[in-house]
Amino acid sequence: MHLRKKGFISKYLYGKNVIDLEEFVVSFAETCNFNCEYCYLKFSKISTKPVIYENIENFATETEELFKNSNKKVFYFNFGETTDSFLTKKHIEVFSKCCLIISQKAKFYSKKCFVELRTKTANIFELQNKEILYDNIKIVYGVTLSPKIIINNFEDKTLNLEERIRALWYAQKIGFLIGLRLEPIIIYPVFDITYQTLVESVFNTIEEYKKIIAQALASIEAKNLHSISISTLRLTKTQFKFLKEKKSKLCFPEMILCSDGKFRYSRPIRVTIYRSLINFIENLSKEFIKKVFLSFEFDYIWDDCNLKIKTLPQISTLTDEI
Amino acid sequence: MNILSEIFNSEKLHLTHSQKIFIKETYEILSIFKKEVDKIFKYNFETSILSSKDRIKNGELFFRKTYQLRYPITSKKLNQLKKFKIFDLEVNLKHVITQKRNIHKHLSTIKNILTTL
Repeated sequence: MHLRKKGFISKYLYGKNVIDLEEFVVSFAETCNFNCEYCYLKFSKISTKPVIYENIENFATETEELFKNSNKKVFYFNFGETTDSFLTKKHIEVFSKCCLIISQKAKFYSKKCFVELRTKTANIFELQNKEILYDNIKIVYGVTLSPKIIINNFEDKTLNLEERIRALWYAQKIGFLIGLRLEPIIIYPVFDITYQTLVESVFNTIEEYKKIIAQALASIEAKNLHSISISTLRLTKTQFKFLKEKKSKLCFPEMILCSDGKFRYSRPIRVTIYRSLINFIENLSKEFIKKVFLSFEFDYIWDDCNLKIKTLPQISTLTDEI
Repeated sequence: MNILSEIFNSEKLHLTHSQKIFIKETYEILSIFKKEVDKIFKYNFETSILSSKDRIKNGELFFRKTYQLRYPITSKKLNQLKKFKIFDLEVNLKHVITQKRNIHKHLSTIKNILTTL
């Protein structure tokens, strides 16, 4: 049995100058064994093997403290940052207990809560109907959507795209809200290193992502959509150095070190990708655009995309009242 | 990597330590995507050392060419922005004021250059 010595709940640290989406990370477990090539967890000071923490009485205390000491009415908890939320049955068991705690404490302190469970597995099918649904919290089933070519090359141990979309459909069927996570957007394949070929590679990537957005939105009902996050690949300095030595195709030539210490595609590339996808989503429905946000981006990028800055609790209030 | 040692040891071209690190990193990254990076570096090196007898200028030219290879999109943007003189550091106060006016006047054009491919 593993006991968590540090806190379970932490305010998300976005990095210098990055827009704060006001979410809380719940570290009920750490690491996963999918070994996605871009994952930063391999470089974090955490266990190399998946660990689940069972001293959730500490989580209960922390939740109570959080609710007691805050005037906020809406809270957004992310259970999928330090691990894949649905990695094993044990993961499901522990986060189910955490959801019960959140529900009880939220009821006492009159708070509304949204809990994001993020996964690249099909283990949601293990979940019994209504097992973790409570009247005062909503579950957001967050799925990373990537084109087949990205899954095959960089996320090869995870679920394929069709199954991820089937899992989305099932998640809404059992009463979850849906969070489409288009991150990290990876420019792949890179046709060559000249200006023109890099531009072609970027537009090719945009088209791939448009297809999967259309496919995913077609499989869910609009009222069940919680949010759509968009973000291009970002790599820490250590990751970038490691991947470069490994000759990984993730080390795109036009990656720039940003003020938060992470490498990202250069500004024109990022803005072109974001604008294209935002316009595409807007053309599908004006309602969807209210639920789109940029993850881990700077205010000037939001501005370039003509997107109003909003936090996750603000987006959450757009969904049906709970 | 032979081409890199040829460049770094050349007496016809001067590069600072940090420029050498950047060039080495660029070589490593570009060779992931293109096998013939050696040929491109050699061509750029040879054209740079033939451009003048000044090894400092030759070094700068080679570095600029390498930068354009590594950041083809960004370097194109920087070239487009040069006409606005916002990167000119040797300006007097009067010039700065003029620049500010120009920047304000051309703000949307600058933003467009910065954000489109």
